Parts: sequence; structure tokens; C-alpha cells
Amino acid sequence: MYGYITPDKSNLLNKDFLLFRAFYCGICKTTAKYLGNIPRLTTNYDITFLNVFLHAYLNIMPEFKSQNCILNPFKRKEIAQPNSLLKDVMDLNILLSYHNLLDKVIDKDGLKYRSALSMLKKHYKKSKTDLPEADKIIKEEYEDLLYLEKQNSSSLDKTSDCFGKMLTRCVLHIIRKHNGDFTNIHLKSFFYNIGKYVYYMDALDDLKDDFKHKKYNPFLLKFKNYSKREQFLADNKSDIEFAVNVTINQAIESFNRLFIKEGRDLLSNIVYYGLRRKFGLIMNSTKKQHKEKI
Amino acid sequence: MVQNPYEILQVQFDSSMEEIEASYKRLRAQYSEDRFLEGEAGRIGAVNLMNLENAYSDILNTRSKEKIQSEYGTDLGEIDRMIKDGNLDGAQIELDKMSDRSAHWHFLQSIIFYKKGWYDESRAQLKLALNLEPNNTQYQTALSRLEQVMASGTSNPYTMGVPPEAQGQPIPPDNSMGLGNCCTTLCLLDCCCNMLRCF
Repeated sequence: MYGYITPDKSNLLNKDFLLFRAFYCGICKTTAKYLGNIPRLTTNYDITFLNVFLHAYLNIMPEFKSQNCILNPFKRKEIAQPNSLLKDVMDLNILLSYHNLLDKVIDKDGLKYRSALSMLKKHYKKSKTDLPEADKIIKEEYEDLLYLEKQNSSSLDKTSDCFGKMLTRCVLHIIRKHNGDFTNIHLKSFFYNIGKYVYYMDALDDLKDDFKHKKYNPFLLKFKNYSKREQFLADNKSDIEFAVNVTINQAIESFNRLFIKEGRDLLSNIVYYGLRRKFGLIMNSTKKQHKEKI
Repeated sequence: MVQNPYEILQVQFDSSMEEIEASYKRLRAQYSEDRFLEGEAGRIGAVNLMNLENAYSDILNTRSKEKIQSEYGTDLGEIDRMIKDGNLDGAQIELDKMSDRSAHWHFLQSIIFYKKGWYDESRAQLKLALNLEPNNTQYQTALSRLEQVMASGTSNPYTMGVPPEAQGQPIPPDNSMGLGNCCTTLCLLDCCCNMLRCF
């Protein structure tokens, strides 16, 4: 699920790569500080993007410290230090990861999802206590999505709408909590379209597995002509590109109407280039993409 | 007992506007004189004149609404107004009530979906509208804009959504929250890190 909102390294300045990494490591370190080591595994690029965005939008500049990395103890890196906003983003990540695993257990089952779920459970309970409103939002939207899946909905918009709303509502809640402007219509439109984009990428990534195991996938239901992944993507290219490109473009337009200063270079790299790049990789790939390392 | 406005005007329900206007003028002239009669006759004349004016006004309003409805189909003009006022939920409820799904019905549905951010559904409705009216240039232009402009994979991201007067304005420098200032040694050491060992 998480790894679709990434920078385009070929266009990325070193200072912005360092910033992205500092926030990525910031999530990892903050998770370790408040919850422990196992939940650090949930650190991902998508929550890193959100971490950068929220600090930039709310104009909260974190402290950076040169520290060791748990996986590479000989290398020191600039790491964003825990603050109350980073803590909230970290909690949101745990909630999203837990509910995503729960959804996978319901939809696909499988030992790996069940064991991951049980390992995360006590940490989830802690994050839920600290960010209960976000947990409520995520639960509601997953319920709506489950209902649509049971109906075998072939509507790309109806299904991705749940994710769009989920992300928007969670982000607005955190922004409001930190006294930021949560009424900005471009902010709402931006995250709504980012949420839809993530849903689409995940569904396109999972085409082969979902077809093989007869699991719900809105693209499979809409086009009904799956035989092989590459053939399916080629046959339905213009329709798929329409749905995803219009979503990415709406996200770009909304982003351009937000006034962000610090971190703008990194964020615009991700929004202008990263989203399209990832979509291109998924469309041209014969297998799952989300394990790409940045 | 409330009287039928057509009875007051002394015309048939399906009389033309010219016939109704002629009858109105004739009766108005008569009642205008009657109201100056003495006693009860004068009072009746005044009441008749008032009823006549109200009935004529009612018929004018009803006939003009019917004209809009006949151009767009049943109540679609009203739904169009609701969409323009931003009442998408109300407009959707009214659209759902209608069993007759004309080209214009699909066009209005596509606008509602568009405003909700449901672009795929919007496109599907535009295509349905065009199926029913292939030569409608309004629908053709809308679909073409949606597919070629809004869904372009190659448009310049720097100018999308930016008003023309703001384009080309210098972008304030971004110090990457202070990391843009980190010492050269640190930058050189770190340039070979590629987060490979991170999850």
C-alpha cells in the first residue's frame, strides 16, 4: 500500500533528498521512542511525504540532529527530532497501517497479514488512544469501502472516494489540532486527489494477485477483459490513463494554489514528477512496484 | 372557493397568449368602469378587477415556466439552477427522481460528478449524452476538454492552476528547512547514501 508518493530522484537536488530522508528517519526514530522497534517497520515513503507537507504547511520547522541509524550504525544522518506534530503523524501512520492490514486480512487473508496484524495490535491501541478521531475516520471510510466491495462496485470514483475522504479528513483533523487553516478548499482538493491516486496505484499494482485469487479489484470489474497483466494494461490504457492523469493533475493544480515556502522544492518534485513517474512505472511493469527503494 | 384563473379570464385552458391578452384587456376595461358604480356593484367591480390582475399574472408565470421546461425537459432548468447555486445534493436528489433520462439529463449528471471530483463518472455521463445527441457541440467541447486538457499526462505542472498574472513570478528560495545550509563535508559524505538499507 505505501510507497506510491515518492520523489523523482533524477530531478532531485541533494538538499531535498536529505530533507526527505531526515523526515523518513524522523518517523522511524519517533516510532521507536514512543512505541518500540517492531512498529518501525511501518515507516514508508507516503507517510514521509505527509510528514514533510504538514511541517511545511503548518510552518513548524523541526530540529535536526546528526544521529546513528539502527540499520547502519556507522553512518550518521540528519534526522528530524520528535515534536508534537511528528508524534501525531507517526500515530496516524500506525493507525493507517493497522487498518490496511485488517482490510487485507478481511479481503485476502493469509498468514503473513494475520501475524503482522497481531504484532502491531498493542501499538495500534496506544496510537488509537492518542489520536482517536483519526481512528474513527479511518474505520468509517474502510466500512464504506467494504460495503462497495461487497456490492462488486465497478466504479473507480465511488471506491477511490473512500480513500480520498479518509486521507483528507485525517489530514484536516491534524491541521486543526495544530491550529492551522483546515478550511482551505485547495488543501481539501489536494489530499482528496492524493488519496484517490494512492488507491488507484494500489489497485493497479495488485491486478495480477487479485485476478489470481479472485479478490475485489475495481479495475478488473470495470474492464472485465483480464487475461494477462501487460495485455490488460495495454487494452485499457487510455481509460486507465484518463482516470489517473486527471486525478494527478487535479492534485498538481490544487498544490499550486497552496502557499508553501520551506520544503516547497521537495514537495513540488514529488507532486510534479514523482506521481507521474510512479504511475508510469506501474503501467509498464509486469510485477508489483511498491517495494522500490529511493 | 378559489376560482380557476382561466375561468376568471373567461378563456379556455389551451387558449393562445393572444386570446388571453385580448380577453384580459376587454375585462380590465369593463371592471375598471364598474368599480366606480354606486354601492355593492362598485365593490364587486373592484374585487373583480383585483382577481383579474392576479389571474393574469398567474397565467403569465405558469406559461413562462412551461416554456423553460419544454426546452430542457421536465424540471431540468430548475436542476441546472441548483447546480449553479452549489446545491449538488439537492440537484442529485431531483435528477434521481426522473425516469426520463434525456441527453441533457446525462449532461447535468456529468456536471454534478465533475464538481464532486468524480471525473471518470463525469466522462461516462458525457459519453452517454453524446450517444443520444452526437452533434451537440456543447457536449463535444466538454468531453474534449476533460479528456485532452484535464487528463493530459504531459502538461506543464508549474503553470497548472496558476492564474496567468501569477505565472513567471519568481519563486521564493527554499532553504529545505535549514538542511540546504548543512556543511559541505556532510553533503559529500551523504551523497552516496540512497536509503537502500532503510525499509
